[in-house]
Amino acid sequence: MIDIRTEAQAEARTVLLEIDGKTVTVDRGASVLDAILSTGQEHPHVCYHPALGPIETCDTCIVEIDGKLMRACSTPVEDGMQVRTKSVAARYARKEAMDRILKNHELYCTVCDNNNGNCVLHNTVMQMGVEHQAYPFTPKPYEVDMSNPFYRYDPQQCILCGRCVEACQNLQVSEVLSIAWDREVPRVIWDNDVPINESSCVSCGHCVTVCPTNALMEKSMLGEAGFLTGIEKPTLDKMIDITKKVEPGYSSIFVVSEIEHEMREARIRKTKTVCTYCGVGCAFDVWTKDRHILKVEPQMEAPVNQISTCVKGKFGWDFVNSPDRLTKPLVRKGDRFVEVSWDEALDVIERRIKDIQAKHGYDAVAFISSSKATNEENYLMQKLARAVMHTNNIDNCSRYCQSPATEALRRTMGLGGDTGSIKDLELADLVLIVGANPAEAHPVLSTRLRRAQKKRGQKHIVADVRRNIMATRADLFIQPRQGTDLVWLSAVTKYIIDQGRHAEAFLRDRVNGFDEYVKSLEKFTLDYASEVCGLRKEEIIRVAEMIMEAERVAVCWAMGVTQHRGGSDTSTAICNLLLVTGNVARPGTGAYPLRGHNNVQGAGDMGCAPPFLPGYERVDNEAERRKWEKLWGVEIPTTPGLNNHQMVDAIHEGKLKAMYLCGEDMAVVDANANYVEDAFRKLEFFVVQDVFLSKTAQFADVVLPAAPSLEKEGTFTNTERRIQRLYRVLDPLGDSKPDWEIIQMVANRFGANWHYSSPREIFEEMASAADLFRGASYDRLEGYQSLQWPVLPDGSDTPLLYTDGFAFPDKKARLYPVDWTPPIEVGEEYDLELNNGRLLEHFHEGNMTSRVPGIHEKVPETFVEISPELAKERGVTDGALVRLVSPYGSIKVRVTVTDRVSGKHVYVPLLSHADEEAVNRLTSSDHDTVTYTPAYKEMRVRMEVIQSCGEPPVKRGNFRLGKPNPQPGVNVEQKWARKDYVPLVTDRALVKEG
Amino acid sequence: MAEPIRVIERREETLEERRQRVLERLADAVVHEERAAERLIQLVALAEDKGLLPMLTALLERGDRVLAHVVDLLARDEYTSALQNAIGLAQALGKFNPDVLAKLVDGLAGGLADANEATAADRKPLGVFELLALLKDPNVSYAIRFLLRFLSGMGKALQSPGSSD
Repeated sequence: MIDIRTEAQAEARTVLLEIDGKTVTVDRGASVLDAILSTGQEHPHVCYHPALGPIETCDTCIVEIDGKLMRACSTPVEDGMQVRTKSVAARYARKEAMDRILKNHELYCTVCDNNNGNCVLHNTVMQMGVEHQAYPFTPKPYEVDMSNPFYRYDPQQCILCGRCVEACQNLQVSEVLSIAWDREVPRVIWDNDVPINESSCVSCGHCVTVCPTNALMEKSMLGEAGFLTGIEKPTLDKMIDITKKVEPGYSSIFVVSEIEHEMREARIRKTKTVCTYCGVGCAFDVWTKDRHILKVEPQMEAPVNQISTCVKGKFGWDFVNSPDRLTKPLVRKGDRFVEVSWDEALDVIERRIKDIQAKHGYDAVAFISSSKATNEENYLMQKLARAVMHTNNIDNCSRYCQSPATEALRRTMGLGGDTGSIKDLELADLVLIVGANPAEAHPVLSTRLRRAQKKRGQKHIVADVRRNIMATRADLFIQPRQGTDLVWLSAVTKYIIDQGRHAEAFLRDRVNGFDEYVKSLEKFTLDYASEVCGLRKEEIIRVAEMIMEAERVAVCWAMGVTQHRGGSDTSTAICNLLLVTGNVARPGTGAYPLRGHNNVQGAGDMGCAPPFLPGYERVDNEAERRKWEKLWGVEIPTTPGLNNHQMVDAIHEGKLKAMYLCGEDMAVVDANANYVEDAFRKLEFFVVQDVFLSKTAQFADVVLPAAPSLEKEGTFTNTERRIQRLYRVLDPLGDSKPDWEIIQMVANRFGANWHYSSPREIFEEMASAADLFRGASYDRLEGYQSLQWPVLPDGSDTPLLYTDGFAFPDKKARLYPVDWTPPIEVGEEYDLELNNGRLLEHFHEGNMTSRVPGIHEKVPETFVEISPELAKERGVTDGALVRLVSPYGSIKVRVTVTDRVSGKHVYVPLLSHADEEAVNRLTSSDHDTVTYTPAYKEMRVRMEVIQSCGEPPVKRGNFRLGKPNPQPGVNVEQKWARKDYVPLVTDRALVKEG
Repeated sequence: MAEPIRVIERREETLEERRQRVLERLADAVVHEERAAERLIQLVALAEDKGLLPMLTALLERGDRVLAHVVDLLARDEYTSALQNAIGLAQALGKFNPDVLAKLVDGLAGGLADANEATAADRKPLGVFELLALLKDPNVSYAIRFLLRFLSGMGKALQSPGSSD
């Protein structure tokens, strides 16, 4: 019985058709092109891309289906279909289609920078065996657009396939590119036909990546990729002419270009890496020629991003070759740093730290690890602290961002990580985004949400004090007062329960503490929430209704929630809401705190926090501690360690004398920067390990030159708990070294006797003991493979958490009552509400991205966003110079007037080149009551006008000044409607009429 | 009190240190590839001896200009058509069936030999009847049949348009 049903289901899922006389079985919903390709047979197609779907502009995939000529890419398979790929009519149609394409494109492959074996057009022409083209190439009346610093558009080479348009409109969803089909000679245009650099283009690189020709190319490739492409332009043009005149048939030309491509393979290295910027975890190949970065080439196998990137991942790597790189260890001597050998630097570290340990004890030294560093390096850093330096004073910068979210997840569900994958976010029917700006801070993740919204009708609710990019596109946008999210979230939860729409069965079977929790909600009435949050009651009800109506709900949140005094509690309120509505542990649902750095998750996972050993095993749990003691052959101290907030206080109190900090610009990114800097001044000894002489490093006694991600091996763990390997793209510059090598050298000066020869050995040691990673290994992470923890000993991983129960002994989640902590109060004269955050183009304070010339050109300086109302009230315009003053400090920045902020709300990006621009000079030392995460997002300031007008800080070239041109896609119907278009497919409408 | 400092006193490598480092690297490479290094020196010495080295050096030094001249030359019509012919010829040769070609060449050689012999013996003009009689010679008739078939094949190839896909 069961067997029959399974068979029937299997049949319903698959389709049987005939291709060139052979019977083929494929999944229902597949296209005829999928079916043909599934047989291993090659079949031409140019505009179709697996990440974009059928675009239907190129006609090169036409086949005969049941006697009619149809596009294979857009025709779904049907039972009993007869497909003929080799019929004369189909072959004629495809040749004609290719001839029409070649009219738009000069084939000078050997001298083309795109001749790298992956040129779709080149490969298709070769595969089709085209020898000559029927229509000669006709130049288009347009110039090459070189205005964007990162890529160019050459209309002469553009075949108008529309892949770029589809990627921009429906994958990235920035809605900038379109094809002007109504022109006599169509072309791709940006916005309403402005130069690329003056459009709303965010330089994400999607269009360049999907272009099947050299029309859209990375500028870093031009004249660099080929052996002959660097030839002077007039000579090159003549060579192209000769080749065309001689024209012995394309197959001969292709032989030469294939040989040239083979030669390129010898000198272009293609190495997989994982992005060093945000926590999304994009992976891609980096193409290099010696130290020159030719381009970033995303791959379909990349589990998170496939072909997607943002401006930083695609174009933001020039900093690795910056002349500012530290290439030798530095030691402070008087009023300057002096370059010294590694031995000399290590001598100083050994002598000074041993001296301080002898005088003040082991706990007078503290360690800060880095969410930019690999898992292996973070593991070694905490091992150095605990096993070699005998202290639990170890922390990392997740304290500054996501500790409250981790705390909330551990309170309610058990594990401190996102409950699902980005795929679940794509699948959700409703995504609630609270205090997060993913379009700028997690760009590739936001593309998945925007695509789901545009293509599938996914609903978005955005709750934010600022009208960010996601808010402008949201189905519902609410603007609660700063620091009041817990209140409206609780009111929404209470309303849902009051309506009897909570997930009763789920709560009964899988959750504890419902009754007690309901009691705790009593005060969160609509009236109360409306008053506290400044929202209308209808808005709160609408949020609740949308949640109740949706089958699958996911919540994304970030710093707007966590960086408050009540950050952990607000995060908990989100988890409670998800539990009450049963939106966890099912595909398309869950809790997604969006991790800020590439390896914030990993730094925590590896035990870089005072109470935790790797895998969140506890120092104060004797059995767990003993396990690690046995592995390391040492005794681990049990004295509780200091977190980084407490470290700063302990320096001021004179208890902490020395600090060893790796890859973290704490002087700029910690709140209340003036207080932190004063602490650094008081340190007796300070070691900083970094790629550049950061603000923090300027306070150091010894600076150790570290290698950035491109110069080392290791693993990063992204926001979905996904572990991915990065490979060494370049050798470390000068005498700089990967952090793991440096940490090992330091450890060995203190008698550690470590002999790690590669990150693989470090990872294996970690995974051999940490239960969360038991089955993880470098072999299972080879290439683009990845694992989402927990990883079981058999190597199976867990993309979706809690499907067989929550991570508590009774497998039940816990509703955790929380109360509202009102935001910080300061004097009445501080009349403006200060917010801060990231910019798309720059990463955080800009240590890396400011050293990327193209990014610096687009966004050279920071600014303060003020509302049109405030500008009018204070009599200032764009470009005015103002001083913002809080009780903790002041900064001087230029004004940009924008409706992204309203009323008395102001926004300052984190980008800070100069001391007087760093927003953290304004923030306080107040913090989340549970995790000590600074309350960065709770401050009020006053504004003094220095100059009422000036040069606007948001310069030409900034995408924020552009005007997007939303379109459903490439609008191929407009192409088909053109008078000069003769259809190659059998027109079904005509057949019917006839 | 450690005040922040931005000044880095870069320690430039001294000339002596640099010499030391470079020589060490070179020596390592030579030791590693002893035989190759010896042969390289031999090769360079020979090239120098024969005057090839100065020529190559000059060519590389003026590479861009030299290439421009070569391309200028090639761009002239007579050269492009020469190139075209050369490529066409090469392609044509590639299309012949080697067995048939070998037989044809043999045939040509045989024919030439016979012809040489016969014409040397008899220098008087060929009459019509003599010609008809010769057609009965199986060797002559085979050769003529071959020639006619060849002409027919050639005509067919000349008439058909270029095709692809």
